[in-house]
Amino acid sequence: MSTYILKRLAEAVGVCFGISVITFLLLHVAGDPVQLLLSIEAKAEDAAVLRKSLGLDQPLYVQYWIFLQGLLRLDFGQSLFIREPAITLVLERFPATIELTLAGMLFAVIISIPLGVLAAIRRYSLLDNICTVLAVSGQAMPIFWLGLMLIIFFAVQLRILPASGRGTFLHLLMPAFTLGAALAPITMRMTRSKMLDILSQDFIRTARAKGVREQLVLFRHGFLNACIPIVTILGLQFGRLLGGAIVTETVFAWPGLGSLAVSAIRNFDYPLAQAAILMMALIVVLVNLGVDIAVGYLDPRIRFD
Amino acid sequence: MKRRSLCAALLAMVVACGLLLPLGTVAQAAKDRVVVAFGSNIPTLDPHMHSSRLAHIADYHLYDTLLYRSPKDSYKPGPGLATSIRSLNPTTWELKLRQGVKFHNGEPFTAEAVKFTIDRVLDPATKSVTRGNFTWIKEVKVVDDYTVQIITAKPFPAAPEFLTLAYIVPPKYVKAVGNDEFSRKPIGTGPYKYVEWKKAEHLIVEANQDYWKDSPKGMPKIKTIVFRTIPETTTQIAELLSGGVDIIRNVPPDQIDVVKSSSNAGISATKILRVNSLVLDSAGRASKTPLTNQKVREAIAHAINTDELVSKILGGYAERTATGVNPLHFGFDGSVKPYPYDPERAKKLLAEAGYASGFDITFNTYSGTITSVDQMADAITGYLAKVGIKAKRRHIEDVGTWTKSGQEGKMEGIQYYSWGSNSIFDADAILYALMYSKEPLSYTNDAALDQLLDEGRTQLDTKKRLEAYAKAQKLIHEKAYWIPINIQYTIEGVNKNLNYEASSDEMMRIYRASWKN
Repeated sequence: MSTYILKRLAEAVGVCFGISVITFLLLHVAGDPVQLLLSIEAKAEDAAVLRKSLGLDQPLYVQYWIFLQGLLRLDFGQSLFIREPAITLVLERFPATIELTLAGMLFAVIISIPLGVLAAIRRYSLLDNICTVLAVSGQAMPIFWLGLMLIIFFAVQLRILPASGRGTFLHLLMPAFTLGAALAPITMRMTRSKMLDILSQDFIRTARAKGVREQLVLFRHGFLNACIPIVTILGLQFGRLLGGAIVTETVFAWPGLGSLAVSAIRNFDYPLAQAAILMMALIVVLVNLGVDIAVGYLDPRIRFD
Repeated sequence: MKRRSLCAALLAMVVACGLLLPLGTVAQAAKDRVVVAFGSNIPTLDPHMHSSRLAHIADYHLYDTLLYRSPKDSYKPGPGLATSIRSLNPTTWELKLRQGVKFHNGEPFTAEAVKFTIDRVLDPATKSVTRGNFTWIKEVKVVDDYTVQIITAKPFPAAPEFLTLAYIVPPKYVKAVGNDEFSRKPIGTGPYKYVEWKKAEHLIVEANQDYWKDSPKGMPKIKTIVFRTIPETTTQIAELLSGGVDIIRNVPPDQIDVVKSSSNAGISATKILRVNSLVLDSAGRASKTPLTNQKVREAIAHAINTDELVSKILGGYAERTATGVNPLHFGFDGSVKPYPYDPERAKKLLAEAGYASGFDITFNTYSGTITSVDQMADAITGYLAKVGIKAKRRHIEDVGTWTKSGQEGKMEGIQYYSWGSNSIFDADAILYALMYSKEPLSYTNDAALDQLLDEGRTQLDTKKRLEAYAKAQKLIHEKAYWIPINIQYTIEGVNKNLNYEASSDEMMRIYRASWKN
């Protein structure tokens, strides 16, 4: 088990290194932060002075080498715009993103799993059909649009929720729901199909034949077995959720990592963008590792070799 | 089962009501504060380490500048921390400083602070991005505690304009805490004091009760200002309509009616220094195109229905200028009238120039400062197509790439240019940079025009400067070196109960705001 985890962690380092190379190259090819820092009316001489003082006049490989050396000391360099260590800025925003992503996931789980189970138990019933319609519309709805509609309805029309920002529990409701709505359909459909699959298995028939209470059959024999693929799906979707958080954070002015990354990329703030993207990549890699381990515990047949 | 769900529903309602209570309390307590939405984060609170408009707005509340642009005096540089400025000789300016002014930490404001501030910006080790605004200064001499002399390398008539950007920082405090800490916890002499800055969320400032009495900014009237970061415009509008925010900037023209028709918000709009124009490569700098022919350029000027663009796309929130110079600029000549919309005349001119069947041309645009840039560019393309000019749009998302291509002479054809004049209210700030043949962004090459612009730049006699700029503008118009589209407006959404007006220098003067009744 520990060798397996170590191996996966080593892989994670490789993945993060790859991501750092790609983001570094893409950002440097895409544009020049100096002009943005100076305003469009600034003179070329002023730009040259600033470029030199920020070390941006060096060849790309030298800049990458400097970046890499810093990385070994967990130093991502200073943000070009905010003039603070990039890692500090990223860590400041980290809790907000985790809060939003976990709340979004909680929303998705609370909505989708009971509905998925019910839809499977009452297959082809009215409830099942409603769930299918909900799932399809949920998947088809862009997060951005849903977020704005919620704001217009709950904040502008009814005035019962704050339109944006972070602070109280009320501030969390709309962004978490928006994010959860993106994840719920796929989880619900997965739950339904897995439950249907399991409920038609021989061991369920045996359990029922033995006279086990129906609730126990459904929960212990049915649902717990269906959990394995659900946990896998939730883990895989976590990356998507982080991606969705970028949009959600922008719509709801949520001060998280996603909106930080977006503004850093827009400004070609290389150090900050690198730090934010690497942090998100690290979260995805770690969550996936966590899921693999959890699945191992849920399903004793899986062995780590 | 039914009873249980009823109980659950009731419980949910009770919990919801409990959660809603705080909102009401917040709304009631809001009269002693004003919330302003910013589209992006403030990068730093050190006034010399950014070129961000939003950060400048925050700086305007925390600091004071040597000279100040008062809306009451048509934004001309007037007294600020300096009570007077005079030119002793062509390269020496003497400033008398205000006495009895204190920084928020009690440190007195003296000539030493002025010298420290400017030396700090000019020192390359500071890595200041606003250094370019001060490189005309050779030396700052402290004459006595309340007199300084600014020595320039060459005669520099625009000195007072640039001194409106000279935010003064406290020397003792900056030396004691260092630049980094200063950028996080700023101390100025301004009408508001720093309280809290959560970088991604908000900046909170509080009225400075000991603010110096004669300040042209006036005593602050509202206790607290919250500058909140809300990146998405639609969300900003929703916050304004729901009362969560009191002022938003940059309301898109197509949303003006939404704001106006709401019960609690209105629009405050005014023209700003920014001018948007189609810059034509008349010199053939990037490549030889039909634009080097004066008749073709005149044809383009007649082909575009600018009045329609202003009324239909910009909702009337814009103004025309015939010459590209703004009435807010010193040197504006109002006697020149724009080319009238006349597509038939345009076609005739094109035929005379030998392009009866039209031609293809690159139309460069970029994202950033131009209001409704896509809709405007599409409409302009449409007008050009009507007279046979097929404009192929090349859109550059990144302003850095845009500026660099422009400076390197790679912008062939037409550029949809936007120029804010660096907040300098002088014709020199736009004409020299964009029309003087040797300037990196100029696509015009006219020796007569160069001579007029040189005269305007170096002449200290105001009357002669005016004459030079009037002649220059007539020449630009006659040769149709560019097609000015509009003077841009700042369109702000404002809570109806707030006394507040938008400013022409793209600043926000919230220290002047007050709540009605």
